[in-house]
Amino acid sequence: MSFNKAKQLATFSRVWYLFDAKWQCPHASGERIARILRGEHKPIYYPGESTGDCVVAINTRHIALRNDAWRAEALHIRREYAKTRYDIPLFKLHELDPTKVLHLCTMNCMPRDSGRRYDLARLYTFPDDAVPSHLIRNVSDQIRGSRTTPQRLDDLTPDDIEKFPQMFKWPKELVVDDLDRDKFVRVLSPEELPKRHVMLGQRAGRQNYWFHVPTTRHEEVKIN
Amino acid sequence: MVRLLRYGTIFGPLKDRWRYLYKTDLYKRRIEAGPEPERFRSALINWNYDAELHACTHRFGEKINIESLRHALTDSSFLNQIVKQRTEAGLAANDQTTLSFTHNEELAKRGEQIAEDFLRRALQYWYPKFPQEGIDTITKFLLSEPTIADISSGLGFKTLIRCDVPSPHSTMLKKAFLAFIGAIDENNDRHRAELFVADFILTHLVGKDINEIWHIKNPMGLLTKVLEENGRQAPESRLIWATGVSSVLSTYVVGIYSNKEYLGKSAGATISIAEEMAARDALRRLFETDEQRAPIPFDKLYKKGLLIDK
Repeated sequence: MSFNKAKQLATFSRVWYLFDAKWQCPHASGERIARILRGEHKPIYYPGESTGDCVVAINTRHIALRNDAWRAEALHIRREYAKTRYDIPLFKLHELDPTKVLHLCTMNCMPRDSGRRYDLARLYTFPDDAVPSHLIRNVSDQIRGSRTTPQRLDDLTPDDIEKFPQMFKWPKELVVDDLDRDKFVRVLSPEELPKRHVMLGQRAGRQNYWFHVPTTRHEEVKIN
Repeated sequence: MVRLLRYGTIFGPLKDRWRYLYKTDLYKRRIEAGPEPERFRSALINWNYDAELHACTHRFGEKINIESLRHALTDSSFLNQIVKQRTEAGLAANDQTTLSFTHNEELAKRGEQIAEDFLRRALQYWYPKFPQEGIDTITKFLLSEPTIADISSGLGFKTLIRCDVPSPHSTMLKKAFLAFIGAIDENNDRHRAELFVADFILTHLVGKDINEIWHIKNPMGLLTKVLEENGRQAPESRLIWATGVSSVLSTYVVGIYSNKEYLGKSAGATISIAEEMAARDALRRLFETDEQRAPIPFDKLYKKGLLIDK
């Protein structure tokens, strides 16, 4: 092996990055991941060339979307024929495939050309922190997330809360012990749960639902 | 449209049947006749050897006597051929002593001596820490037959050499080129000949890595030896980082340290290759022949301080 070959290898080898998506905004992290998948962070970057690196993203189940996006935003699917389009709200999509939201956000940050899917094939996403050993062995670097992971109040032990420095003491009559959830939250019995109204007849077509359950024509579909 | 109409029709010189047969036959005859035999350039009518020699001296800007240049470009095979021709013609052996010229063996030896001395001096001057063995190897490479023959044919010696074959062999090319250097020394001075060597032989190193010309078989062993001579601790190799270990494009970067002091590093597809290349990198840093080293200033070696020999 000559010096030039070694230099070539050091320049063009694909570096493997690890990305921990826990509590990260998928839009912001999608931008970072897309940049690395396309190789835009390298001095040898050129749009037509495949210079990108590989990314292993873990904990995609625990991403944090902004505002009310889990409920308000949706994946819009058009299925090429009239009245066949429907939306999947992101919370439902996340239930179906916990890696999909990060994938879509990353894909959204790449230019819509034919090379996009090849770059995206170098992104490996896993819903939890379990990664196959043959992939985790490749990793040599990590991408830093843009959001700091918050520490939730219910993660803390009562001792920690007691020891937290107080600037002053509230009067006793103003303090409500809101850590005791049972005071405020009531578990509903199944009878009390609101029933979902399933449409039958003319308007029960699948265009009126955001989910589609493929069945044979004569089978009765029951959705609660 | 025109192309469509003409497509599939016999058009042009093959339109007539007899013309087609005639052309085919000519073609076959040419193939049967085989390639043209190689001819001497002097066999062509527009050849003036003296003018060519004169042009040669002016091409290089050297003031050389035409007779001594003719002498430098005469190969021993040419002399042998003439002697043989004379013998066949019935001339006695004592008549042959009257031949007015000799071949260039002596001059070539003289030229080779000058070139070798100069190259060794220049390389030692510019790469003072490079070992003697390496400098010998590079000098040998520069004066090897393929290299010199390549330079020689590039400078147009191919047609000027007087020999018994139309296209001279590489040994003849080499001898003629070295004899030319000898002729410069004979007619002008040694300094002038050395400048010629610097211009035309030493420049063959452009774009080449001298660390690769001198291939070290056991770089780690040599590195240990060199460090020991300098009174430093034995080299220690460490894996700096690795990526894509289980993929096709696995890369390991290994660094070499001596007493926690960085010597060099290199990438490789496996750890053993990376370690070997890192040892080579450390060696070239120690020898000061790495990439940061300035290239040889071919035309300014004497101005930069190379001492004139003798």
